[in-house]
Amino acid sequence: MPNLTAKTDYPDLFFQYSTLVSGMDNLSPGLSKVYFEVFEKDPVVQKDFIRLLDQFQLLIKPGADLEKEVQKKILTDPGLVAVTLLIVKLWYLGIIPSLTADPKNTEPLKGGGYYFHHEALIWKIAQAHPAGLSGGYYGYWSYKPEN
Amino acid sequence: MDNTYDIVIIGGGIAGAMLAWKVSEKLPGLKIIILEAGIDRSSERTQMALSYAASLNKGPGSAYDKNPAILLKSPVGTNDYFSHDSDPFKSTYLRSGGGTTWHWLGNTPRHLPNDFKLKSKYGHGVNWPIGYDDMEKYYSDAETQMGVSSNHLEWNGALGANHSKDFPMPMIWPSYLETTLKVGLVGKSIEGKKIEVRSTPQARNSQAYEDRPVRAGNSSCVPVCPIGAKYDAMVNIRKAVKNKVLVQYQAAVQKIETDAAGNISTILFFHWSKQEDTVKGHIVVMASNAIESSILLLFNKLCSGSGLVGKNLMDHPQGYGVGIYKDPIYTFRGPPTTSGIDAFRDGDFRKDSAAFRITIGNDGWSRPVRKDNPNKLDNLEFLINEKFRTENFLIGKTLRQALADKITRIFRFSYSTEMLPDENNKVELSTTDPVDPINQLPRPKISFKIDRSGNYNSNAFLMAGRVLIGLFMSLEVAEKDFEVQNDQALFSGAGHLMGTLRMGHDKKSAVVDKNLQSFDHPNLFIIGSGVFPTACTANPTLTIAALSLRLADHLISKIQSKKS
Repeated sequence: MPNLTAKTDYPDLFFQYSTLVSGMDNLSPGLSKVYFEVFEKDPVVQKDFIRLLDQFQLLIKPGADLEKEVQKKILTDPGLVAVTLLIVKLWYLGIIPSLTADPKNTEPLKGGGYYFHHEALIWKIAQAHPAGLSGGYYGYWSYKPEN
Repeated sequence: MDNTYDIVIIGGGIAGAMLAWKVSEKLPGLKIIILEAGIDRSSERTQMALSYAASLNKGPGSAYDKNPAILLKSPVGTNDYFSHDSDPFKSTYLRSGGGTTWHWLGNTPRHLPNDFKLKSKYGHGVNWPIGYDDMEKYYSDAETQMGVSSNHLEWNGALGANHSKDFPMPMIWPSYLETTLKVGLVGKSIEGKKIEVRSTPQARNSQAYEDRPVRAGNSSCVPVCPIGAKYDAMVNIRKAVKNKVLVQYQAAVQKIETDAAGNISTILFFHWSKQEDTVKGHIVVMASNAIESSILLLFNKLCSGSGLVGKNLMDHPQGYGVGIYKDPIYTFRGPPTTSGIDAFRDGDFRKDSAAFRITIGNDGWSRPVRKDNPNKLDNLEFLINEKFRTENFLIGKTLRQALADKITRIFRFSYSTEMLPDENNKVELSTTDPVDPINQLPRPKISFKIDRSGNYNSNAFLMAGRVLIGLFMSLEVAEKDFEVQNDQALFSGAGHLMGTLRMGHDKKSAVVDKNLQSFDHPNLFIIGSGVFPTACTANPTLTIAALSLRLADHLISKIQSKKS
């Protein structure tokens, strides 16, 4: 088990890393805590997950171009690439269908599925509502989205 | 308590609900019972909508998976159907008060006049013993009962079918996506047919109707409407109950006995508690679906004169095409579909090729067709993988923009093909599989194969493929930006169970006559799409409802003449 008792604020690092890789400025802090636990508790990915956050912490310096630094120092390590892709998928889909970056592997993460699809960022970038949860008025679909 | 009823209806889906409502409306005081194997799910609507919203897989089962007792899945999901030496049968149904109308899409096209005479007009299949003119009034009545929204001007006279009355509600507003495509297709012809994008008649409210609200565009007609703006058969069950019809839920019929004259005498059913019960009926109506009615009749060795019970099982095998439009058109806003292209539902080409219906989908990524990624769950994931791996791993705003660029431009065409009746496509009683836990009956063993190698249905897949390519090209979608699935071997099920209890002219060639009365048992009638002699291209639900209303008239005059 990784040592999570140190002072490092891993949940906050995860939130910052999620914001950076997803490209979204207004992620839900509450959902971030839930997703953090998904990775932290998963026996298959937890080691690389903490290693990723440790690496990321080292890159946070005043004036740093974090995106470039992540490309250079994190996305050159296959283990960290795989975890980053899982983080991107969880935010965009609200679910992680596969454990690895192999698109054909649909085995769910151990510990069960993580079903937050209605919170998925995919709906925001589609400028649509989560299917089943419209809240719209009759006929809104005849127009372009406002934003 | 007297357990004898004037009418016993087995099955509380749309067929039984329509019949019970209309007879009880015209003949108050008649003693009618509906035996429904499933439960009343009316109080679970909101929870089911949430299950669907949270699920990445947006298939018909996504709202119901937590209650497997009511959902009979195809072998794609579990082993609840058992096929032998055949293609899997890919359609599902619900055991529930209101039946499969809980998770139907709501499309209600009528059959076309030539659909009733496929044999005499085009030389394939068989003719129906009734024609469009026999059905027209009942189509109109069914549209009123269900609450159908559409455009009378577009449909009256189209494809040879007159509509004597306007639809009860105006058409549902088309989505921005559909309007954009419609404009792009103006003046185009493909395979010699003028392409017209037309509003699809739908039993979904374009305004408040009776006690149900106007639709809100939740994109979730399949698998459940969160607000009840889509018709489901509980509407007519509730009306029937107001008329004193008794509905017995969790009542799974098992044994059906006959008397010396061949009439149905006693019906034995199990409550889910396993307690046994019996009822008797002066008139008995089988109103389950094409699979469950077949199982009941086969198990009880009923209607065996023609040897056709369970045979000629049909569906509408489907294929798809997905494209990326040149501009954003915004998928997943509003209804899953409001428009379609009906030009290929009839024509001389039916001498050589099955007909097909095309719909335009607002649910862009929900029916993926990528040959390199056929797993439904993987479609969006594939896109993320693809974009993430572009240029040494795309992250941040560049990744977001790349995803948004594709997702806002994706759209779908799908097509549903006509298949011919074939006695080798059939439902039989399984002798090897565990019995159904609810009614203790044998499970269905299904043999199902759609014709291949240059035959009627495979020609439709080929033609639909050409038409979809023509549509994408007419819309100036670049070749690299669309993909068409017209490999017949990869067909999808439409959820349309038809043909196992054929209606026809005589005992040798059919199970029931044109009035849906059994040739073998004078007091037994059968309703539902099992009685369809051919599949045609229309979604079957409206025709199921219309046939039930027609039978209701027949039974009403029969009962009235007996009384007088």
